[in-house]
Order: sequence, then C-alpha cells, then structure tokens
Amino acid sequence: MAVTMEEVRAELERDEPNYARAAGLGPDALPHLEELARGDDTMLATKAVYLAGLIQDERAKKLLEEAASADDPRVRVAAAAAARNVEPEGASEVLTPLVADDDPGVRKVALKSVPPDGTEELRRAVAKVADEEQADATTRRLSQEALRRLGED
Amino acid sequence: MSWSGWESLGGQCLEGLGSASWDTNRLDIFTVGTDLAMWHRWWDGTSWRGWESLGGVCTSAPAAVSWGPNRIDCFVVGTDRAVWHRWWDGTAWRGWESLGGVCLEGVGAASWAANRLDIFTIGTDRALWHRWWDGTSWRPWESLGGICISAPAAVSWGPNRIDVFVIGTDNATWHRWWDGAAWRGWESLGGVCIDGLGAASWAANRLDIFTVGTDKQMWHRWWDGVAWRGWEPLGGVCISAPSAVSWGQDRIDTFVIGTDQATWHKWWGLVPTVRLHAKVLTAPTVAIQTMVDRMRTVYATCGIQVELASTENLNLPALNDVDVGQCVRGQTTAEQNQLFGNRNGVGANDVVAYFVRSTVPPFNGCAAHPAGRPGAVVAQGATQWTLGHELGHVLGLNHVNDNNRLMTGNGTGNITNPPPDLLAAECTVMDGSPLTPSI
Repeated sequence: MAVTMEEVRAELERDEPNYARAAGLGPDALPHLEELARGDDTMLATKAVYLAGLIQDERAKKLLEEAASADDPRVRVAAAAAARNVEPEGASEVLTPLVADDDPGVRKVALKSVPPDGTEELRRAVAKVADEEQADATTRRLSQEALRRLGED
Repeated sequence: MSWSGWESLGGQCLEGLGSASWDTNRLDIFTVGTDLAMWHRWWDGTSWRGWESLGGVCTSAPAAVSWGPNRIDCFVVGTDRAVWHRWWDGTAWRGWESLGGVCLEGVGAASWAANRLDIFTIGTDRALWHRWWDGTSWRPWESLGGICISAPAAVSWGPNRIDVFVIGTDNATWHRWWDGAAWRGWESLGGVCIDGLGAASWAANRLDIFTVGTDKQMWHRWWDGVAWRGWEPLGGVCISAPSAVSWGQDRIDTFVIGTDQATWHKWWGLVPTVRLHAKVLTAPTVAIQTMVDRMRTVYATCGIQVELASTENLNLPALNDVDVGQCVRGQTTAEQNQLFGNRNGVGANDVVAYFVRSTVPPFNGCAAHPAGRPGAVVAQGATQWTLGHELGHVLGLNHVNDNNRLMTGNGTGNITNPPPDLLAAECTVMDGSPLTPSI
C-alpha cells in the first residue's frame, strides 16, 4: 500500500519521533522524505534525512548524499548521524566530506559516525583532519578515535 | 511567597464581590447575579463549591466578614437603599434583616472580636457612616465624615482595631482608623482609583489594600508595620472593585470581576513553582521568553507558577548538537551527562533547559536527564509549546493521544485550540513533583 505524505508527517511532526516505528513506513516513504528534506521547515528536514538513513534503499543513500551538502548545518548534522544506520560503503560516501566540514558540530557527529569498515577514501579524509595543526582538541580526539576504529593506530 | 496567576471562578456577576474566611484554607465569596440575588461560592480546602443563590434583591456588591469558626455575615444595599444583612450561623443561612440607612454606595464590614460587627457605608451626604453590633444589639448609625465616591472597605488586624478605606473626590485612596480609643485620620494614600477598594490583614499591624487603576488592572499598597509601600500593579482587566481577605499569615486572596463578568481570583502565598534556568548554546527560533510565557499560560491552569530564575549563555560547541540516544527516561548518553553537568550553582530542585542547535537523532526536545540533574534539551527548531511539553515530562507526565493537550505525542506543532490543556490528574502529578516546591 502506498505511503501518504500525511502518514510520514504524522510520524515526523512528533516532538520526539519514534524512528524505529517510522522506519516501518519503508521505501514508499522516500519520495515524501525527499520533499521534506528539501523543504523550508528545517526541523522536519532533519527528521526526514535521519529517517531516510533507517530505510535501506539506494534512493535513501542518494538523499543522504544530497543532505550532506545542504546549506543548513543542522541538515548536515542529520546526514552525518543518519550515516550510522547505513552500510559502510554508503556511510563512507556521506561522511567523507563531512569529517572535514567547516562546522564543528557537523565535524563532531561525522567523526563519531565513522564505521570500523569505512572506505579507504574516508580513512584518508579522517587522517587528514587528524593531521591538521589548527584542529581543535575535540576534532583531534575524535579523529584519532575514528582512525583507531578504522584499524589505524 | 509570590502572587499567583489569575484563576477564573466563573459566574455571571452584575456587581462586585465580597469575601470572608472563617478558617485556614477556607474562603467564601459573594456576588450579585443577573437576577439581582446574592450568590455564594466557597473553597472548602480541596475544591471550589457552588455557586448557590442566597436570594435577595441587591443594588450593591456584597460585603462579607467572619468573626469566628463557621460564622459569616453578609451585607448588601437593597432596592430601598437600606443595608440588608444575612448570616451563616454554622447551621443555616439566617435573615434577611434590614439595618436601615440611606446608602449612596455599597457596604464595608469588619470584625475585631467574636460577636462583634462593624459596617460602613456612604450616606446621601457622601460622608462615611458607621454602625456596629456590640454583641447585644445594633448601635445607631454615626457619621465619620469625609467626602467619598466609593463604597468603603474595612478590615481589622486585631482586638479593638478597625481600618477603613474609601476613594475621595480626588480619586485617591483615603484612610481612617479606630485605634481603640478614637477615630484617627483621614490620611491620603494616593493612587488614581477608578473603582472601589478591597482590604485585608494577615497579621497585627499589617494592612493590604487593593484598587483598580485607570489602566483597569489591580493595584496593591500595603502597610508593613512601619510605612506604606507600593503601589504595585498586579495585572488583570477589572470591571469591579477588588475584594480581599486573609485566612492566615502571609496569605491574601483577592477577587475581582473580569470583562467576561466572571469572578477572577489571585492570591499571595506559597505557590507551587517551577524554578527554571535557561542555558543557551544556540538561541531557539521561537524566543525563549515566548516559550516561557506559553509554558506559564498552560501551567497556570494547574496553579503552578513558572519562574525564569536565570539565563546563561554556554559556549560548548562540542555539545551544540547533542547526542540524546533513544531519548528514554532514565537513560542518558555521555554527551547528555556532560551537558547536564553544567548546572553552575542551580538548586537541586531547580530545572534546567539547555537550548541547543539540534539533537542526534533529531528531536524537538528531549527530557531524558541524568539522575539528580533535572532538565531537558530543546532544539533550535522547537515549537512554542516544546519547552512546556518537555518539562512536563521532567515533572512526571507521559504522552497522550490528544492534540488539545500539552502532552500530545503527536507533535506540539499540531496542537489545536491553543493554549493546550493539562487535565486535573496531570496537575496532581506535577504538583506532587519535588520540582514544584511551594515558594
């Protein structure tokens, strides 16, 4: 049965959405999530992006990649957080630009989302951040932790 | 101690109000209905009872006083311009009896001992007139002079002491008092009063008077034993003189008629209060003051006050997009523990709202907090009701499936018919929380 925008909004307009339940809407929700992710309501956009990450689908992955380059850092934070629920290769594609994001919040969430079996490209991006002399203490610590997860001491 | 918000007690009031208290946590209020009868409502310590009709044909606001337990005396002006008296003797309502007089305005009443009554009104000469029950009989009317344009308000703070207040032709409040030996005054207490006065006393040598200013809000002045203080504005939109009464130390109850012709109640005393501290990492889209105002509006329906005790900016970029995990009560992440560690001297039973840019995963807010650090996080994109909703969780409330209620689980952005409701059972839970101490 097709999922309606009303059903999707009913899940995401909650103050504290139950994402596990909302994920049950499945891939049919993705067109609506794309619309919400591109909409003017940033709160709903972030929730839509995060929910997309819980729906294992190629279209969801593309939505996260698009969100990773959004102007609003809150949407990029949501993309970085959503990557935790995506298979490693897809997560790596979302996270590679975000671990070096100019925004410290985006960077923090992206570095914490780095999966143990991320791609070599992601590993190189994290290593570059770890080597930056101007990196703040949190970024240095989180990038080193991410590198350890990626198997690099 | 603080002033509560305004509480509606309903009714369709044609004239002003009288109020009395014959015990701690007991209130009796009287007004005149659209049928010109006197109507009675009372607080029995648990809830408001009434309205009940006490009959009569009244042309003034009632005055009421109690000289002791289970005793109330009420006075109104009748269609013949005489003062009429009805009283509760502990068993039944007695009267009406006429006490004569030709009144231009309403009545004030006080009692300084058991079986003692003093009533005051304004005669056709605009002077203040006094009559009293000495325990055996009503004594004749005596003139206390003055030129008055309002009904008198009278109160006693102890044996052989009476204080009377009226509005003079200059619209100021004027005061005369019996000190046990003679009548003293007049003294002007200033003010610009457009309606009558109410007076109460919660201790010897303490007086509190109330009137309505040109801005229609209630104004308060008080004698603290040394000097007159005030005036202070107490808000409201009043279309009658206030009535005031005290049932004990540090307690005053005031009543006025609002523009909806209902009786409205505001009191000074211990009030269950949420002491809220705002700690701001990112200012929300809806201003914090707006969120607090919305929360106050809703919590006031439970008689719970919200005090914004402090606002502090926190420069914590690493916690500005805070990981709240599944946001389950009693479970917190390392980042929540770190964020909620920033209480900075906040009291143990005070509540902290941390305003962050976003949460991970994205929520409008999250009320999960470490033990002993009560509070919630509120995201930048939260609605005007999210703060009150999240702190409702902190006070013990759960989600409901009703978009007309604050605790709707369907999103506070979807609230219909604002302001949203809190049910009596929810109020009981909130009132029972250690985070709403009476202060």
